[in-house]
Amino acid sequence: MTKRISSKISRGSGEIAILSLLAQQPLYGFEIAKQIAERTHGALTFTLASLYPLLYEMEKRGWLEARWEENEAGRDRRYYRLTPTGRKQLAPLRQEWRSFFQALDALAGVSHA
Amino acid sequence: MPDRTKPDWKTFVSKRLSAVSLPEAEHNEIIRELAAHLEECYAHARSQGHDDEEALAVALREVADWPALAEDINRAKPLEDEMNHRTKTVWLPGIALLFAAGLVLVFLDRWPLLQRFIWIACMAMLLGAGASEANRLNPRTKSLWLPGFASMTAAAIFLFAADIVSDPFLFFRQISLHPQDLLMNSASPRSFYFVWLLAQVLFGALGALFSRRAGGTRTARIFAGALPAIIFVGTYVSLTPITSMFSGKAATSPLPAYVASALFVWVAAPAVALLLGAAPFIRESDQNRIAQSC
Repeated sequence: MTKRISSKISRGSGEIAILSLLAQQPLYGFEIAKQIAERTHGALTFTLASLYPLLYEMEKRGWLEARWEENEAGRDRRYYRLTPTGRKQLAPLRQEWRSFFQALDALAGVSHA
Repeated sequence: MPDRTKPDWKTFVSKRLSAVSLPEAEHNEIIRELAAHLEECYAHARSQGHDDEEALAVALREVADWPALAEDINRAKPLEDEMNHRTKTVWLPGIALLFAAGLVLVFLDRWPLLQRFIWIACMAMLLGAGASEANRLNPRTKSLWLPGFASMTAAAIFLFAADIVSDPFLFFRQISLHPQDLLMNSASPRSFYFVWLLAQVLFGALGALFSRRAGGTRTARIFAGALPAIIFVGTYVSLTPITSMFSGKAATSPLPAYVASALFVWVAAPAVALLLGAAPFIRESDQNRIAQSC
């Protein structure tokens, strides 16, 4: 299993992680956290406490919009989806992270995949 | 700690997030969402083979510091940002200006045509303001009242527009006050009526579609699509007997038959048309199906 990344670093990567996931399909909070953990093999994890303030912040900026849906079992889920503004953030954010990895690599010899 | 046999997560979260200072509707929505998340964690842990106590512990580990979470939420959703910039700078001043102009014209009793345009613009701008603030509206307003208002505005605009292009006195004299005449004569108002009826299909679809997009339940979608007909019920039940008293022709018709025909023309037939339009959007969306399969 991949070594878990500290909460400070994973929190910083939250925006791009959430935007990338939601660019594929709308998801509700629990599923977002679950998929981030699964796709990063447990390296990045988000709890309720770290995920929702970030989702609300991104919603306030107009990057995400949310709506309630109920499944057959009567369980409430608030689905988040990307807005056109949110979709526009993805490319610059990816570029920003790429530059960050390059800079870190040059400085500390940390190569990225 | 929630009851171990059936955790009441809403009460649990509500007690711990009392420090969140947001409007009641928004506060309740956050509690609902976070409680749903904890419920998912608990159910997921149970499905992974954890016993009740372990599943509870897994769910509770999601938040180590509730006061810190309340602070983070307050920071993420500050009160001062309650209304968005566009609403404050465009919609509200526009509505206030138009409303004032409309009132002045009413008091002066001048330019009735312009007055109608102003009221239509006011309704449309109110709708724009509502849509602009949709993120901040509570779920019922977003999925029921706002879409209902959209279909009602569309229906009203159509009536006003027809009123402007045709002879309003002929229209109201021959249809509104005497709906039974539709079946006997008056070709021009009759053709207008049937076009109007067809347009209700579109308006019903509009209300139900908006409601579905806002996550409205089936009942909310039906209500939003059929709202114009519901308003017509209120209007005609209260106004028809009154207007008939002032109409010389109404004296020749018995009042119950008159009311029944008015209800048929203005309520039953439009309701059928509205629901016909709403029907495709009353079914579950793809997104709902995705949600149900999760």
